[in-house]
Amino acid sequence: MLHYYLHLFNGIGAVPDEEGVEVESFADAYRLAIESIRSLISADVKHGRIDLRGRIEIAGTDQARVRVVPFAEAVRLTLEDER
Amino acid sequence: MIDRHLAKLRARHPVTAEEEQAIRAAITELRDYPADRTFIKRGVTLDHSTLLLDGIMCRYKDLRNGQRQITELHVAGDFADLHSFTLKHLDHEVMTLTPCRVAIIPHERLHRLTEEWPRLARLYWFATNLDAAIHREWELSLGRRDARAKLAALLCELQIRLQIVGLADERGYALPLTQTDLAECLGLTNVHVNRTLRELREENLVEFQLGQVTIIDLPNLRRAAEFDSAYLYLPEYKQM
Repeated sequence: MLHYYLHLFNGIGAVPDEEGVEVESFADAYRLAIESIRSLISADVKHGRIDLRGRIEIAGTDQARVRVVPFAEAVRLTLEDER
Repeated sequence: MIDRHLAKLRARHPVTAEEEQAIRAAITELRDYPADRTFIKRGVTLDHSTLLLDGIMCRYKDLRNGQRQITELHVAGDFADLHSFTLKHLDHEVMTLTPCRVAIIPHERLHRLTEEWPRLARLYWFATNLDAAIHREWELSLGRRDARAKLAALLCELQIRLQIVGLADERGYALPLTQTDLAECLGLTNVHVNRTLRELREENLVEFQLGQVTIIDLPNLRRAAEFDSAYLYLPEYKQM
C-alpha cells in the first residue's frame, strides 16, 4: 500500500492532511482527490455557490508535492449557449 | 468481562443478579480480532452472536467499485449481530475498526436464554430495536444533514453511547478511528471530513486529533447537529 496526503487549499484557507490515506496506487489517490473536490463542490452548491478556485495538493510520504489537482479539473461546466 | 454490556442494559432496564449470571453462563468463548478484519461476511450462515467487549467495530455494505458505507458503529458492550440469532445470515458485513475483544454466544444458548429468561428476551428484542433506531438516525444524517451537522451528530451520539459504558465524559473520549473511517460513516470523503473537522474546531465546538475527541462546547455541538438523543431511549437523557 502507498501513503499519500491530500492537502486542501480553497476559499477558507489551507486544510493540511495530517493523517493521509492508504491506497494501492497513485491513480487511486488522484481518484480520491477528484471525488473529494466533487463532494466539496456539491456541498457548496446546496448553499447556492460554486467556487472553483481551490485545489488539492497530493503529496507523498516525504511531503513532496506529487500532483496539484485544481477544482476545475474535477468538473465539466456547461454554461448557457454552450454545447 | 461483560460489565460494559451490563452497563448498557442497565442504563435502560434493571437486570437482576440471576439474569446477569444467565448472560455470563451463555458465553462459551472469548476471541481477539486485529483491526480491519471482516469477521462476519454477508450470506454466510451463523450459529452464534458476537458481543463486543472492547474496541470499535462496524456494520457496512459496499459497492463493486469498492465504495463502502458504514451503517452503524459498535462500541464496547454492544452485540454486533444479535439480529443474526433470528436472521441466521446477514445482508451486510461486520468489521473491526480497532483491535477488538469479543465474547461468543452460540445461538443455541441464546435460544435457551430467551426461553428460560423471557424478560431478557424482551431486553434483547429492545436492543435490536435500538439498533434500528440508530440506523434511522443515520439515515436522517445521510439523507438530510449537511457535512457539519452529520459529523457533529455522530460525535454527539458516540459521546453518549461511550459515556453509558464508562468510556467518555462530557469533555471527550478516545476514538481511535481514521478520517477515512469517519468518511465511510458519513458518506463523505476524508478530505471533506478533514475540512469539516476544521470548521467545527474553528467554531470552538469540538476537536478530533490523534484518536481523541475533545469536546469544547457540548450544548452548541448538539445544537449544530440538531441532535436529539431521544432515539437512544435513555430516560436520563430525555431532556438533553
